[in-house]
Amino acid sequence: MAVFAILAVALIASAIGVISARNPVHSVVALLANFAALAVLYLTLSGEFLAMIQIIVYSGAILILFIFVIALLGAGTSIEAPGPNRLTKLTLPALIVGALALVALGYGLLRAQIPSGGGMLGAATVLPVSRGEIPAVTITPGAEGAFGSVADFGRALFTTYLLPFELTAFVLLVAVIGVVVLAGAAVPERRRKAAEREAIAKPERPMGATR
Amino acid sequence: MGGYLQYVQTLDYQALLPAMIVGGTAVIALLADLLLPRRIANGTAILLGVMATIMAGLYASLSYGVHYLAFGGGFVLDGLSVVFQEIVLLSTLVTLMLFNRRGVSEDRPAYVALVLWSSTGAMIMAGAGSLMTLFLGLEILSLSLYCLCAIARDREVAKEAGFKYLVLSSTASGFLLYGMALLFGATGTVTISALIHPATGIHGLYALGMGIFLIGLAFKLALVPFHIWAPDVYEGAPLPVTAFMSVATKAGALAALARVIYTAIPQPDAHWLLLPTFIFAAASMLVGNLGALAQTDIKRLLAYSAVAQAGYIVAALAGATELGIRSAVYYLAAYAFMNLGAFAVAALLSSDREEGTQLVAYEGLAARQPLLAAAMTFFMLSLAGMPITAGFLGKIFILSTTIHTGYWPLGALLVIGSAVSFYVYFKVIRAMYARVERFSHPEVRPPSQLPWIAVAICAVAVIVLTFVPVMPGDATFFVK
Repeated sequence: MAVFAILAVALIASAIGVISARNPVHSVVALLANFAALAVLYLTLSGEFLAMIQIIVYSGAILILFIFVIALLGAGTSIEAPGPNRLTKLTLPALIVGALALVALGYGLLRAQIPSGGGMLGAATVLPVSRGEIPAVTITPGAEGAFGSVADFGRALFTTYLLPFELTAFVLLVAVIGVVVLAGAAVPERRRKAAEREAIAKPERPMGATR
Repeated sequence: MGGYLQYVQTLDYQALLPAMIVGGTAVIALLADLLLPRRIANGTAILLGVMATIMAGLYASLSYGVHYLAFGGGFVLDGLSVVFQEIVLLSTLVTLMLFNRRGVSEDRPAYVALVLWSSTGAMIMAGAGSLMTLFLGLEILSLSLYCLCAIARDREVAKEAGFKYLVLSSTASGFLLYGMALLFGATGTVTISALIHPATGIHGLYALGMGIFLIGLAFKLALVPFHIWAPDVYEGAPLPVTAFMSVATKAGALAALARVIYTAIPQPDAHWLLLPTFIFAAASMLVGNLGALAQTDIKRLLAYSAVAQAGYIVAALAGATELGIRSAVYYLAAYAFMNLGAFAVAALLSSDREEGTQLVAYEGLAARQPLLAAAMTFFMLSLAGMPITAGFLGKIFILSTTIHTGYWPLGALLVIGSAVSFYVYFKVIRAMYARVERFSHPEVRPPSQLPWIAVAICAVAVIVLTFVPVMPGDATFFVK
């Protein structure tokens, strides 16, 4: 419980840091702290494999990409002075609504009866629509194939959750093509080819001269 | 360990085949862009898209009446999924016919591909049996639409539309996902029909998760008070995309809402859970129709009208009766064709440079193009709910449903909203038939005659729906 309390505070504090930092680099560092705390939280829930993935993929790959983008755009140079905050009138109502939501959430959590054996494998046993073909797994903590292990993770991913797994790949494809359509074609092909032809026709132009 | 493949059967992929045909054809359209000369590529991409939607539509219709839970309940094949998939496919077909060169001449195959992908997403939503499939279908739909809204890069308003839609829609997705996480925490399952389990019942966490989840869906349906984005986004997006959004996005979100209301919320014990949704629907009927009064742009006018129409359809689901879902499906089908028809008329009034969406462009249309004006009048009357049109019949069905289930205040608001909407739609009709001394708007030549086919399809469909009120009744709508 003490571990959870520390992690919860760290998670919320770092999340606030991400959105409130003026300097994007500070935001990224706060995000790194957030991801690390989340990974430890997964560990306490015996999601060892997920914790490793969280560190390798999110902290290792995605955050580095963020930093690359910030570095390429020029860190610290593009921050404009904040304009007048036009939402001040809404601050109080927003706080009240937020507080009410928090109270409702807390009340809901206190009243809730979490089904025994909740979590992914516990869920599989109460699933009325599961076809009953997936062999029941006896859980012995720490053993190979136990909850949260790579084997267990893989089994869930390629049987029960195969469709979401495959659809996620599709989402990534759509995102990539969407970005290419929006950004890649910003310089129309015609104009680019004309520029190339011009460059070939006038080789005497000094290197590095622009337009 | 080698035996796990047996848990996924060929049948599972057959259930998903219509969506896979549409999604796969988008990739082929992109390849055509790469391999063929640009002049041929544009036409080829549209032809491929039209063929794919027709093929997928025929294939999906074959499975009408079949009940199958694919991927362990992740994707459901039942009456609801087939009917909504057909509506999405038909709206995609009409959308593909509305393409003109406006702003997107450079990369039309990509444009076609993105429309096909958003259609795929809506189809997956229609059959989503688990919260995860639902969310991923929604993301495929939304990601493509963000790009489609901003695709006309030369217009400032398009950029604004794309950005606004991205930010606000992502917020709604956040709500949806948070609600889903709470539902999973409360029940231990992501399968929609398994959310209610005798052992757990309804408790605080479930109610909270469902409430947040429904707010997310209400946003996607543009119900009041989550409708602010709709007019701006509809205005900024290219005309075919607006037509597509007004029908396919709503069809996907409505399918998800219907499945949740009918299979995951026990009636009538937990009808209070849905009360906010129906209040949103009631507000939509009023605000949508009142908001449309002041509009002079057809896209904005139809955006407000779409807000009101979504309210009517959600009202049909109140009480979760068999009659309710049938009225909702009937009204959605009728609305789809009336709305797409109106957009097709607007596409015929568009030139290479300007979209014919200003009300000025319709002045004196009856004298210039009587046939087109007659078609537009027909669609507008049907949207308003003039007696003996499909729109009227649909409203009668919904009205009788609300009286039958005891949600008569919703029915009363439907009548009031319709009365206001008569003025809105008659504004367009009056502009077309008004005597004009001198046309203030220059005559335009549409870049393609293809929208005529779309107008014809929609008009015939609305007439057929009027005389043959198709109420899909022979197939069970929901498989639990």
